[in-house]
Amino acid sequence: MKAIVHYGAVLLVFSGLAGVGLHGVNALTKDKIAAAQQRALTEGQRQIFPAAARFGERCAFTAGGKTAYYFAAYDASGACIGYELLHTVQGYQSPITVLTALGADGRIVGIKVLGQAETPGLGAEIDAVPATKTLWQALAGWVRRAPDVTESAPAVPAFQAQFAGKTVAQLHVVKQPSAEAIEAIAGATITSEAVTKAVREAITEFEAARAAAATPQGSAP
Amino acid sequence: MSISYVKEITKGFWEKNPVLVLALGLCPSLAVTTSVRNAIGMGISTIFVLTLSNVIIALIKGIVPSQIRIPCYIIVIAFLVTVVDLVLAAYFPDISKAIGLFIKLIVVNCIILGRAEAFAAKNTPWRSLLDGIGMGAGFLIALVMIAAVREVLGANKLFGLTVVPGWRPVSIMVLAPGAFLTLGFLLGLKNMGKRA
Repeated sequence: MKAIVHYGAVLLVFSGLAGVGLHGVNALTKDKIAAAQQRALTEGQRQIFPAAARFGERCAFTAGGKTAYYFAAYDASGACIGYELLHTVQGYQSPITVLTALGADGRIVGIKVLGQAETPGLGAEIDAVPATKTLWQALAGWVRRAPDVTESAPAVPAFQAQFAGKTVAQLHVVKQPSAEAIEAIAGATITSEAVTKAVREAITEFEAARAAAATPQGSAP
Repeated sequence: MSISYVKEITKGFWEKNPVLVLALGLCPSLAVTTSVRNAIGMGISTIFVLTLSNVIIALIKGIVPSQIRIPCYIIVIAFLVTVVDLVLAAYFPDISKAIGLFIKLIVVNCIILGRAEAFAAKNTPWRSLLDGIGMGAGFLIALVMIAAVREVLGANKLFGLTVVPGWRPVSIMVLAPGAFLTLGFLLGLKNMGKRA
């Protein structure tokens, strides 16, 4: 009995100290983490919709039963040239947050995965950038100390590049290369499906919400 | 630094390599070794958490009753991992994006608990610090070896750069069976060297 009380007390002290410590670290880092995420969102917005000069305020809509967000995209003259949709779905082992740029013609301009913690080497390959040169070219360049010119623009991950120019009807996952569908990553079908679903669900439900809002009032949301 | 202290670091590199000899941490060794870059991210994160957890556990070993040492060690490890995760996300978002995935996996890495139990609980904080650095480095070495084989054969790449232009890689090597094959061959080679 005495031993149990002793053990319980030790565990209580350890858990308590860890809890207090984590609370402190969380309080210190919370704002910084939010700021870093905001920066990543702003950079992602510009990267996938290069034609847009500025973006509107964040507005909410519902997709897949959850709150999603959209931002109107404006060109330099102030005309609305499309929307960016921010939607999160469950992947294989983590929530996947996808930003989709939707053009005025209903085609996808580009997508960017803003957050995911899928299996490294399998699901996480949705963020993998294709090689731009061979190992030997890189070594030769390093030996000659040639300036690296290929690193100028941030490259689009190969999986995400497939979405550009597609319509909602083409958003289904297949296992062979196809111009009319999304090719799954080998060994990561669930993650590939999840990203595709995030884009499809966001566009479908955003269009539906816009149509519903347009009917009575005659204006876009 | 005396010879024995140097030994405390270097024993983990090869002679008592945590993966290839002690067969610890096999789960992350199989999961993250699809590319050398991933292996390095996991290895460095592990060195950091393992060293800190070894030191803390060596410091608290006197006040923890042995019957409940495992839950206490796990609280320490989980606490450290969460701190590292939050601090990286707040102050180094780029590094966090690259290796943040691995940080969370460290909680369940049995190398950390294995070294806590087998070494830090019986040795001084200073020796435990050296053991943590050495064992972490050994884990990094083993991961990079497995990953180099898998990335070249399975993706025809090294550090994300193409190795043999035009060659179609054997994609089973980046999937789970390739991990088991590579690890099996490396364990076999290591044991062959031991007998010779």
